[in-house]
Amino acid sequence: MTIQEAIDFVLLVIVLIIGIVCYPKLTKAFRVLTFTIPVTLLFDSISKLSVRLYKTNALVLHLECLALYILYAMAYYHLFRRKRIKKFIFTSTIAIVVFAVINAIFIQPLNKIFPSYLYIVTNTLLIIFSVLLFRQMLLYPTSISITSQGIFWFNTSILFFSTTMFLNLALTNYWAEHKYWDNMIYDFWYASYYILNILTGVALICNRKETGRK
Amino acid sequence: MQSDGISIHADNIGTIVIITGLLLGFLVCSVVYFVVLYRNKQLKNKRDQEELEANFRQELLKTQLEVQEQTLNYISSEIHDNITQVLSFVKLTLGNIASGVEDEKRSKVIETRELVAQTITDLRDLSKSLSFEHISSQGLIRTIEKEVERVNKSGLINISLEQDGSSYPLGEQRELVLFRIFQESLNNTLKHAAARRLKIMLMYHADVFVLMLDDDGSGFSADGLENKAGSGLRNIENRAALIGGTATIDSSPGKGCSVKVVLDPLKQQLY
Repeated sequence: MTIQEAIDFVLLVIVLIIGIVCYPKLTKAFRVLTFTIPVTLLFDSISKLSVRLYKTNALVLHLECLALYILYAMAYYHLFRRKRIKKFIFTSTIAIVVFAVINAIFIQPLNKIFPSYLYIVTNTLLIIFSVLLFRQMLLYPTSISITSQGIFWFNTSILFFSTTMFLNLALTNYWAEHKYWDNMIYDFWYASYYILNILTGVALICNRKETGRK
Repeated sequence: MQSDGISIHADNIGTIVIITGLLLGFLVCSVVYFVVLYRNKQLKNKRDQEELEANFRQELLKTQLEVQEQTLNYISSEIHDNITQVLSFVKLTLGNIASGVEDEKRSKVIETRELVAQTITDLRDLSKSLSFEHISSQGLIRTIEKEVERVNKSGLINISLEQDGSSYPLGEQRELVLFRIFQESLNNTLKHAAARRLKIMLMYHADVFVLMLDDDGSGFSADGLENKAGSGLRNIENRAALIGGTATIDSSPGKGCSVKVVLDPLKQQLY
C-alpha cells in the first residue's frame, strides 16, 4: 500500500465514522451520501485485489462508476425541489444504467478496458446537477450562513471532483498517448479524492448541525 | 523528458500545469462568486422580510386602531343616545317631584337634580371626546382645548395649553391619532404621575409639527422606559410611527415626564 492509498483509506474511514455517527440526524439526501463512503471503500478494496489477481480492475471500475453515480443521483434527487429536475434525474439514471450495460458489452469491454466513456457521461451529468443545485440555492436562499450548509459543501465537492475528473482523464490519456508515465498524475488523482472525501465529511457534519438546529 | 523513445517537451508539461492551474483557479473563483451572490441574496431576503414584518405590524396596528375607534364611537353614541337621555328623564322627573314636596326635602331633591345635570354635562363631554366624528368636525386644537377644560374643571391637575404658529390641518386620521396620543399621555399623567401641573404645547411650523406634553410628576427611571411592553408608552410610539411621526419619551425619577411627538406635515402618511 502506497502512502497516497493509505491516506485515502484513512480519510474514507474517518468520513465513514462521521457518517455513521451523524446518520440518525441526517436528511434523506445526506443519508444516501453516507452510503457512497462504504461503497467506495468496498470497491477500492476489491479493485486492489482484482489488480493483484487478474492484473486488471476494469470490471470493478465499471461497477463502481455506475454504483456511485446512482447514489449521487439519488442524493441530488432528494435535494431538488422542482419535479421536472427530479424527473430528469430519474430518467438520466435509467439511461445511464442502459448505457453502462451497452458500453460494458460492446464499446469498452467489462473485463478489459477502463470505462472512460461512462466516467465522462456520468461526470458531465453530475456537473449539470451541481450547477442546477447552485441555481436552486440562489433562488431559495435560507437564513443560515452558506458555509454552515451541508448542501453547499456537498455540491462544491461534486463540482470540484467531476470537473477535475475530466482533467485527470485527459492527462492520463495524454501521457498514455505519448507512452509516458509520471507519478504526478497519481498525486493529482489522489488529491481530487482527498478533497472529495474531506468535503463530504464537512457536508455531513454541517447537515447534522442544521437538522439539530431545527 | 523521455519515455520509450518518444519525447514530451517540457513546454507541453508547462502548458498542462498552466491549464490545470487555470481550471482550478476558475473553479475556486466560481465558488467564491457563488458565495458572494448567495450572501447578497440572503441580505436582500432579510431586508424584504423585515419590510414585510414592518408592513404586517403596521396593518395590525391599523386594524387595532380601527377596532378601537369603532368601539369608542359605539360607547360615545351609547352615552349620548341612551345614558344621557335616561339621565335627562331622571332630571325632569326630579324637577317635577321637587315642586310637589315640602321645603325640607325639596332642597335635597334640587341638589340631586343638579348633580344629575352635572353628570349629564360630563357624560356629553366624554362622549364628544370619544367620538371620531366630533374630533374630525372640531379639529385637533379645539378638541384638545375642550378636553383641557374638562380636566381642569375636575380640579385634579392644572393644565396649560400653548400654541406656537398658526394652525394648519394635518388630515382627519392624523389629527385623530394625535388626539389619541394626547389622551393616552394625559391618562398616564393622571393615573401614575401624581403631577400638579401639565404643560401642553402645539407647534405649527412650516416644516414640522410638534405636540409636547410636559408634567412635573414623579417621573420614572430608564428601566421603566425600556420596559414599555404592555404600557401606554409603547402605544404612543406605535401610534406616532403609524402616521409617519416619531415619539420621544423622556423621564427620570422626580423630574416629571415629557412626551414629544414630531411630525412632518408635508409627508402625507396615512395608515
